[in-house]
Amino acid sequence: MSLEKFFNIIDNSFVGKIITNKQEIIEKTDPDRIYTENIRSFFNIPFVVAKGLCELAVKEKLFKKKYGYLCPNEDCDRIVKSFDSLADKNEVLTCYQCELKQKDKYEFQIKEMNSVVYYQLRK
Amino acid sequence: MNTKKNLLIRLLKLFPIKSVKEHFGIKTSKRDFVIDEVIEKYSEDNILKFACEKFDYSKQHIYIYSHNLKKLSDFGASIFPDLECYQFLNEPKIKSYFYFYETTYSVLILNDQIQRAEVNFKVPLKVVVDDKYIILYFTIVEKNISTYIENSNRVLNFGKSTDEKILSVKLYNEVSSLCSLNLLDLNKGIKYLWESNFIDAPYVKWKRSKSTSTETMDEEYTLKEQYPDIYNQIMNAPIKKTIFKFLIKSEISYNHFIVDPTEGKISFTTFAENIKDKEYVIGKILQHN
Repeated sequence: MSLEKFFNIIDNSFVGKIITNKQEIIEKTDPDRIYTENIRSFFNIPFVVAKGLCELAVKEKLFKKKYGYLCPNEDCDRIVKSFDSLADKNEVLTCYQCELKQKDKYEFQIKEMNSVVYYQLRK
Repeated sequence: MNTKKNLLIRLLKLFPIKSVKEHFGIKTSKRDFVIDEVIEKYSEDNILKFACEKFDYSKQHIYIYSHNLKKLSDFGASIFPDLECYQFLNEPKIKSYFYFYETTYSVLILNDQIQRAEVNFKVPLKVVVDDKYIILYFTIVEKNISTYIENSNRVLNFGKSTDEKILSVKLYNEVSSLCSLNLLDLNKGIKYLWESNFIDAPYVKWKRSKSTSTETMDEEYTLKEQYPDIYNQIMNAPIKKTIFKFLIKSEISYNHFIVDPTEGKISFTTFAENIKDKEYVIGKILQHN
């Protein structure tokens, strides 16, 4: 499965007409981490349209939707762990980087953590 | 709060409980029970001897200095005049000093009432001198002091009386008449190990020409594997405080360590499973530095 299939979906929509430089986008995209903003900026389209296209790609089984949970420590903010669906709010995740850096807190319940949605290209 | 017994309990808590159990032959599994049994059955001397013998299991901050001393014999039987040296090993090419220094943490204990207190620790410290380097091995006392205080839920820590900085300045002052001392830049040794794929970094801080950049990798990703272009940039820049992951696990029991190569500082902020691991890593860095 390639990003070209995803772009074919876009091509077939009204957005497709304004798409250019597809090959460049394919080359520059990390197929394991596609954020809605990547799609929005590539095509210079409104965020909601980009989000809709990503969800469409999920329905078409081109993309896999992932939920990444972010370390709440202000100077960390990295994705500690990703799940295929929303995680159990009481599950506890450990940010091993904050543990190594001896931060006061490095274990967090999911409900304390912000999440970020990203997409993966299905292989 | 600060009886001899309290200090020995806190000292034992600076070590992995597995090493305490093995050394003293304790069968109980729960940490507090193990420590209680050791305190009841063994003397202070036995416990200090354990801390000295098993020192390399502890969490440590390590500072490496280069020196220009002509004769190693110029160093006497102690480096810190106001600290009693617990053990001095005088070998032809290496001198090793082991100390216990006392430090006092000023804290607020928040239980039913707020209580102001001073919490004392007896902290192990090792200094090793050879013909090129002076290496200071400081035991890490957790910032979260509540782990060391009995029956306390929350403790606010306002700092300690003696710390690594104070002892490093003392060392400078003490040896200044014998030689000059400089924190060793470890960039070369670290970059060699990184290039050889012995290590890779999940978190990197480095100097660009007009800024300082950090790269914090998500999940278990590491920088060189994911971003070879950025890695190539870093290889030409001074590296600051960085977390490295060991890629060749057969040679070492640690998963990670922290190094600030520009400041000559290496930190092992988790307990060691193998007592030789720290020396192995430091040896590898210095060998290629």
